[in-house]
Amino acid sequence: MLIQIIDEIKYSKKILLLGIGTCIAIMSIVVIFSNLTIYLMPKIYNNYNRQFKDGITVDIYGMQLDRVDFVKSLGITKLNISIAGSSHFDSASIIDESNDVEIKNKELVWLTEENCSEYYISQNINIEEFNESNNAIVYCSYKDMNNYEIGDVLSLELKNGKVINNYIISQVIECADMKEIKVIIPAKTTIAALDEAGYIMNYDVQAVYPKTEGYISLKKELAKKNIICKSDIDNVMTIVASLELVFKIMVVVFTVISVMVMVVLSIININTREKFLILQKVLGARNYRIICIYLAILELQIIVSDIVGSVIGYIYTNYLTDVLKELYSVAIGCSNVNLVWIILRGIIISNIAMIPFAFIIKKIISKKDIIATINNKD
Amino acid sequence: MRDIIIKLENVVKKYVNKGNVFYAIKGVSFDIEKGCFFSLIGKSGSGKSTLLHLMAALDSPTEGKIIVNGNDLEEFSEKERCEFRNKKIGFVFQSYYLEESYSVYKNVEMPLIIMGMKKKDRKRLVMEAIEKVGLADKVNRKANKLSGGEKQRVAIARAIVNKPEIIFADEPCGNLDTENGNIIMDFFRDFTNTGVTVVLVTHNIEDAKKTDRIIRINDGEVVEDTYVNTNN
Repeated sequence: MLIQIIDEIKYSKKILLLGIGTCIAIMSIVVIFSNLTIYLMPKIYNNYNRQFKDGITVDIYGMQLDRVDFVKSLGITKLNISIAGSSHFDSASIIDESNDVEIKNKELVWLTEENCSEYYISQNINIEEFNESNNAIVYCSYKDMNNYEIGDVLSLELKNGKVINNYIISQVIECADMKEIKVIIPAKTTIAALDEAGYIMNYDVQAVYPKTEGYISLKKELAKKNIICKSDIDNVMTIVASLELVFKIMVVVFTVISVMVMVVLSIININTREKFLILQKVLGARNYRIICIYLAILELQIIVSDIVGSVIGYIYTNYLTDVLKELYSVAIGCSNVNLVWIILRGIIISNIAMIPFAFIIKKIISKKDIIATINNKD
Repeated sequence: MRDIIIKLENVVKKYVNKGNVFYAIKGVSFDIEKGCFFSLIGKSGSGKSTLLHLMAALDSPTEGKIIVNGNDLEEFSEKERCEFRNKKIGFVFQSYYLEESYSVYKNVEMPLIIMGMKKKDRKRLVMEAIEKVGLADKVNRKANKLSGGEKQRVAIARAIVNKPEIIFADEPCGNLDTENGNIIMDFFRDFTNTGVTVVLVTHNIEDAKKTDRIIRINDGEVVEDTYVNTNN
């Protein structure tokens, strides 16, 4: 078979050289873009990671409490959860029914794992049990302590006077540094009550995302659940991520174009060799043997194109990084790039991209009909 | 009585195109003896080439049996059909079917390369075949530099290089002048003398008369079966 492969290469050398030349040009572009993706982008992200060494502070809007675990699973840490839609609660108030005094403009604090320590919740309180109860805990200064007694009923009431839920004060805790009265009400019970009243609660979260690399992906993931995530570096990260996406798309598009050029030229070549293909079939060559000849030639073209294209791409990338270093003092570090690895990577990617096209070539060769061709030629 | 090498039993070949059925061969039956110089004649479109393709395992009949050397071709797998064509059969076509960019040597070598034969053995057999057709002095010449008669001789060398039992020749003299045509017919006669069966398809009655037996085909049916040179 090797003899036939060599003979076919000799016969079709012009069209094969055209394919190789075109693919070298395309492959060198692929290598440049893939090198930029692999070596430049991490450098850019590392720079940002250094700037934001404590992570990016993000504001998350429109989250519901049952999504906390999902948000955490995306790598977000240090969640500080507060109630969104504050317009509901500007008008809401907690009524001390026993004294018939409306305690307005007092901060409602939702008890969560993240903020419970902030308000010195006693260690003996089981947060989960508390959240499912109808109890409320009052934090106030010494002078306000006389206004509250354990067992008093507090009502969560909206501006329109609608009572959402009643709570029984279970603890009154003195806080010397507390300027305002704070009432901690159970989250789960309150949410259920608000849901029943037709208020779907969202929560705003301030949190930290530790690295810049996946920030845009994080935004997209959250957006799928209708959760909005924002930070001060949204614009910069969007530009950087777009740049990365463009590089990746270029790699994929040019790889596919390169393989398609090769395959189209192979198909043209096969069609010009119809008579020879049929002769081989007549003389007893099986389809797979003929297919192997042309796939071997195609493979050889890919390997040659990859090697030459990778070397050109490598040289150009080095040149580009030197320029960047001089202009912006950004050391990309491509000098450590292993050329052999670049070549192998190109060959592997090209071969994977070639798989569907190989089936097309197989089909074309298999469909060449001996009788129809012989009858036409004769 | 000589052994039967090809046996056709009620062979039918039909083509269906857009619902229209066309019968190329309509229930043909005959035997061909081993070493016979056999010719199929008929008008263009009579079905003689179709019959040759069926006997040479290039095509399959719609109905009936074709038994070659005791083997029913329909029972062959695709691999066996390819091996059968490669090892047992030689082909000669009107349009030569040479690879024009190849030398005479490489053209003749092709069946042996497909067979997977070693280079040394290939060389011996190729030179032997080329010498038989009298082209030893043009062994390295490209096929496109040869005359029509020489091309057909290369095609014959390629057909005999694998020492086949049967040679199928489809209008081998169709593109040749009388002199070259006679040379080709003489080659075939020589091969039959060594026990090779030659099946010739022609529309030229003069060529057919040089064979041992003529079967005339008309509209896919055998209309005449004549033994000509019984002495041979």
